Amino acid sequence: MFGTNGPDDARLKRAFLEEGEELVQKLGESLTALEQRSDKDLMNEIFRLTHSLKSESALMGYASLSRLAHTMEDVLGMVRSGTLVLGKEVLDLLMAGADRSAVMMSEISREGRESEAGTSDLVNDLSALAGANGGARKASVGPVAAPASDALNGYPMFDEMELRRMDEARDRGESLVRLSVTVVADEPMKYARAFLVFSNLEQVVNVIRVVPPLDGEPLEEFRYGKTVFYLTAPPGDDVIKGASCVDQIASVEIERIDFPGRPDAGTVTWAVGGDSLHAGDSGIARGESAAGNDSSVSNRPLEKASIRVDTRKLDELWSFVAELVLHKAHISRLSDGVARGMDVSVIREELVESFDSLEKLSSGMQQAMRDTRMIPISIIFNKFPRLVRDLSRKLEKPVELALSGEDTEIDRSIIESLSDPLTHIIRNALDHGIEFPEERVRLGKPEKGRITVSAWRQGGTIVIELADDGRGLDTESIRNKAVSLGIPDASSLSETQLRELVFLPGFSTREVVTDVSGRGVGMDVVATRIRNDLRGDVELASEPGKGTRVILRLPLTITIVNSLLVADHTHLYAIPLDDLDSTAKLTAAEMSLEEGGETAPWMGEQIPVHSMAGLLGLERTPREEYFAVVLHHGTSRGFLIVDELIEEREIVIKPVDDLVNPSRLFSGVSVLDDGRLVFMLDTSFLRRDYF
Amino acid sequence: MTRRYVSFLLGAGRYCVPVDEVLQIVRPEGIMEVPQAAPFVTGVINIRGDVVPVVDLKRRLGTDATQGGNEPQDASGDGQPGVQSRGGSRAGSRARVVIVRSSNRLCGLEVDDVREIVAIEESSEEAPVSEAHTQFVRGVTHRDGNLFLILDLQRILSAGRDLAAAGPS
Repeated sequence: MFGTNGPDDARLKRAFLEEGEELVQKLGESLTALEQRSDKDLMNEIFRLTHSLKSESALMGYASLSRLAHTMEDVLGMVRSGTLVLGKEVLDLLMAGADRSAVMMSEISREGRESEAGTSDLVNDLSALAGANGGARKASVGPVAAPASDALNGYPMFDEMELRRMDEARDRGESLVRLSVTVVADEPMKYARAFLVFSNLEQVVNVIRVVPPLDGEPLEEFRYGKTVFYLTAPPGDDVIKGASCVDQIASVEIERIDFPGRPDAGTVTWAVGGDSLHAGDSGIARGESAAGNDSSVSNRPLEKASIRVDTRKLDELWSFVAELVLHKAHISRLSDGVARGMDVSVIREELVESFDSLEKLSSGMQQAMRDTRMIPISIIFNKFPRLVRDLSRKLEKPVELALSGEDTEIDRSIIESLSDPLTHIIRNALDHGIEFPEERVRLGKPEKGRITVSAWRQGGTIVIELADDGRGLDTESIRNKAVSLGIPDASSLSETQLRELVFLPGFSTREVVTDVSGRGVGMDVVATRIRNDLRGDVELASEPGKGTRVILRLPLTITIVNSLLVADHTHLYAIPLDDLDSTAKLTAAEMSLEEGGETAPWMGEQIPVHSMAGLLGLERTPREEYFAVVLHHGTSRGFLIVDELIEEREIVIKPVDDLVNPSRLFSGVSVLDDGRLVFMLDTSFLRRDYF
Repeated sequence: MTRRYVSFLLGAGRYCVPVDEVLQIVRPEGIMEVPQAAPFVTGVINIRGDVVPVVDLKRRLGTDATQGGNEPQDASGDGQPGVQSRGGSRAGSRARVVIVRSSNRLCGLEVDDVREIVAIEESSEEAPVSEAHTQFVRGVTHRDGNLFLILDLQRILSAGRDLAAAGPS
């Protein structure tokens, strides 16, 4: 364990990092905005963000990070009270603080812990600032003794209702018990075990709080070996022991603890924890840091497991669900009707009608669900003011940035791959496009350069345009570079061809050319990301002396299909869950050879038996028992025998070329993270005459 | 008007494809076997997330003979899996896969050696002479005493219609 650096609870840490990342980004944005206009609300917002950062990181035990935030808060406090003037130096240091916090967070997410000395230089600078201007305040700047945690003494942050229940229990003469239950390490269904204990306990005692909460995302809890229950019970451990006695439990610890103090009677620390969403759980993380946890889990880099969804989208989904319930009721009435001897033709008619609307409903739900994946592009755009500000200062080129279309929505999966290329293009525009002020004045241009970034939706495409009013693409220097690199006939290339060269560095044989300089440094990376990874397109337009425009066109969404992975003859295949009825075991005895081919019984009828090998024109290895899946395409059903059933996965599907799909057996192809190839099965073969 | 081409060697022949259809040139590494493919397809290669079929150009053009004709297997065109990564050893370290884009399809062409970019006057292009693989050659041109065959990518990549005719002749 890592001592004070070691809150090992991966879920809490993930929550902290996710919240923290957003918090730090907002902090950076607000500081940038503050530079433009001094505003009391903005100042308060910054103060609030810094304060949350301080308390959350302190609660998680990240001393270095919390010390930084604390010092920033001190400086902010002096600014707010008027003892310190908000000048450039102060703002720069605060921004540096926000940046460093982001760096620390990614370090924590990567390494599982913060480096001890990670912030000391900035803390010193900020303290010096506070000291030089405020004298007397200096004493308060320094290491923070993780204020909230000690007093919390390992309790979660109980809410009012929980505290009331505990009060009542105390009046009944019960005591508060902390019960730690550890599931054996190799039990795959840890959540289920914990839940079993919970339901047993509920029968005999008052469970106040469970950490981690059992009504959270169950899949997440699979990783947890240890669950802590806070409950009130009469004296005697037998009842509790009995309830916790479930299979696959490695250890049970029962500890009687003091009832927590009420917040109004308590210390400042309650108030500190009060504005942090995770303060309650964090207390546990310190007090209880589960010793049995797998450290490889906690060191895993942060993955975005949870998402934020616009409530309007959820409302829309909800209305679909409501409609679904109506249909269910209708169908149930129909089935009653069958029992009561209702006219069959009427029932048939109503069923067909009901089915039609169900079909509409399900495609509507699909669309609505897909929409929840869409987020506004402002998530990326909001980083640009800061980027432009920093670069323009560094390069000494004053630049004005105009954003438009920030509300344009784009698929999450695309957003993440988009940030780097856009940043790169802006950096290029500032570095190579925009001229120095003297030059601009000489050319009769406004002294301040201008960069505009706009996004809009055009049919099924998102268009993002980044334009600058700089010197335009320097095709001659690209040509010179091309000549010097020995690209044949470079001297006779047209402007358009030269522009394309920027995207195709040496036609990408690294041995020939590594980069075409001038404006194009790294543009090949941009092109690859946009064209190949995101299946979009990028194009350059430029007028010498007037500026450059980079236009990106992106598909609205990338297709992700929930699938079952199966293996056969050394290859992997994905079966869309939508087309899957069930997995099954099929014995040789069950299969019968009929005129048309093999069949086997399924839900009371004989359905065809296919095998993956057979579909591929290979021999099926004869066995006594086969793994199979039951698939459907429309109303056609069939078994498909495979070598192995692997797991369910979300798969990003790309088109598969006919050259490797001659019999159209596949609807797509994908490369998994580990480089393995997966072909997505198209179940329409069930309809073909395959016997 | 002049068009520019990437030229490469295939056996003893010189071939070329238009520069603007070439996306990338990579070494024949990481070619993955696939369960089903046209007979002249070696496998697929992962080009930054795109799964790109790799065409054994010699077999596709039917010029196997220039290399001694030592790989006549799989001539039946019955869709047996391709043979894993043959490309690497065949023409030594100069062998490359030229990734081309034609009508929005990506495809890799296995070649023995990538030579240079040549500029060809359209007026100097001639109709292909009568050769075995004429169907995949759009035109020919002479340059510095060499004969260059300009490949017709669309036809090379057309899998469906002429699959039957695709095997070595």
